[in-house]
Amino acid sequence: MSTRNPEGSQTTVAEQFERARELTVGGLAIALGVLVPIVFHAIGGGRAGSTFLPMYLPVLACGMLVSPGIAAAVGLITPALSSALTGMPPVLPVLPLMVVELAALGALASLLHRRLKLHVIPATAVALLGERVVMGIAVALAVGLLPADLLEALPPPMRQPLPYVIGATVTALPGLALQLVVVPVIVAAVERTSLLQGRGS
Amino acid sequence: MLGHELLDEWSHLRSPLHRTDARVKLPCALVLVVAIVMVPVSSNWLLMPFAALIFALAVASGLPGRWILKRLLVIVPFLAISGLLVALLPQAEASAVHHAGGVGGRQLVRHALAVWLSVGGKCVLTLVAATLLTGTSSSADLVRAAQALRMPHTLTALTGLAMTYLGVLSDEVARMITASRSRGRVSGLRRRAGVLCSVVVTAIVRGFERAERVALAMVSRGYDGRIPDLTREPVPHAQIAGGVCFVICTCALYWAGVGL
Repeated sequence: MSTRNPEGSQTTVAEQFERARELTVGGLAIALGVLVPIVFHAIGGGRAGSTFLPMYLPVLACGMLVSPGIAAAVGLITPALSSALTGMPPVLPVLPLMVVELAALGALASLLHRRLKLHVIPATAVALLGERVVMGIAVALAVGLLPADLLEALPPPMRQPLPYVIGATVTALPGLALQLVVVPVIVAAVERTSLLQGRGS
Repeated sequence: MLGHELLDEWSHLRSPLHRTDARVKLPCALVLVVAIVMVPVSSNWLLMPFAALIFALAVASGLPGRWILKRLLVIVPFLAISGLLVALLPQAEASAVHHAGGVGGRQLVRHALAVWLSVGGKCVLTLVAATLLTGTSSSADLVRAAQALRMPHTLTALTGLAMTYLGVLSDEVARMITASRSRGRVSGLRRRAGVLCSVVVTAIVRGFERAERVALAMVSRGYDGRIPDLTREPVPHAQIAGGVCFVICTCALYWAGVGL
């Protein structure tokens, strides 16, 4: 059975369900991206965010389950909404970087797992690696493009992209390990119980 | 947590800010946040007039001061850690400069302090601005305002669904924690961390299952790829004029301050 969508093209019910599923899963991932860091901050204090990367968890899991466009949108909205509702991450200097990083993380995860059909564990590892590369590029661009007056407001470590990325990666090692363990478990559990069994890997 | 009652806790008040349409408040808040973020470190004093403006708006909003301060608490650890770094690290650098025969040690400390005040001030002011926006409008109104301002449909649909899920998930997690507690007290940090992990993972997996059921329900009710937009009355001209005045004043304040 097919119907006409608002753009005027024909869509089947399966396509409509897939579109609706991606939106609801994306919305859920954003909500989790706001709630999970609150839980981590409540238990681990202020440094738990940069160590365990709790916001990455739902964005990465969502990336494995939806298309790259929706995954990138989830990565874009999650830190912005969390910042507006809870104040974390702070608008300066972390939020703009996190928006770029998480959008890239979601899109990469989706491309690797859903388009290239890579298994969830290597897909998670490569997506996290790619996200670190994007972080370095974003910091280098910020340093290169920001006017001198605004550049002064960046913390000194952030003014040197490579040492900054290395430092952030070393700090976040427990979080990166956590993603590698937890994301495949979540994705496997969701794909097993999914109404669309057989999608993904 | 962040249930609906907490997200929209004070949106029912009748202050002038509450009565202003979210389609006017949203662009005004964005302009204010961008202007604050763009203030250079050398013009830190410009944050004071912006702080006065935001304070006036907070008073006009009628939102309880304690509630606003509680929302600001989250930023305290970040400010404290960066303040501590400013207090300790640059002084070591400054004394090294001083011992090496340089004269810039005191300047270095002053500059680090200026950077800290700039970043901290901007974080606090933007957070208060965001708190005023979310405190004086319901989450549904904000999503509709974003839709009316031609934000991409996917972004507004995702944000709307996320707002709905925040309440649902908070309740779900609270129920799971209560159930876990009623089964008996878990002692030891490791076991408690295990229980916490299982609660988080179960909540995520159940959430994804719920998302698929919601998608099925949406398609069954005739979802055609677009979240329906409820018809809204036009924004009153007086409010549009007020919004334009606010944007012009904010930009003028910024340009005047940076130009000085």
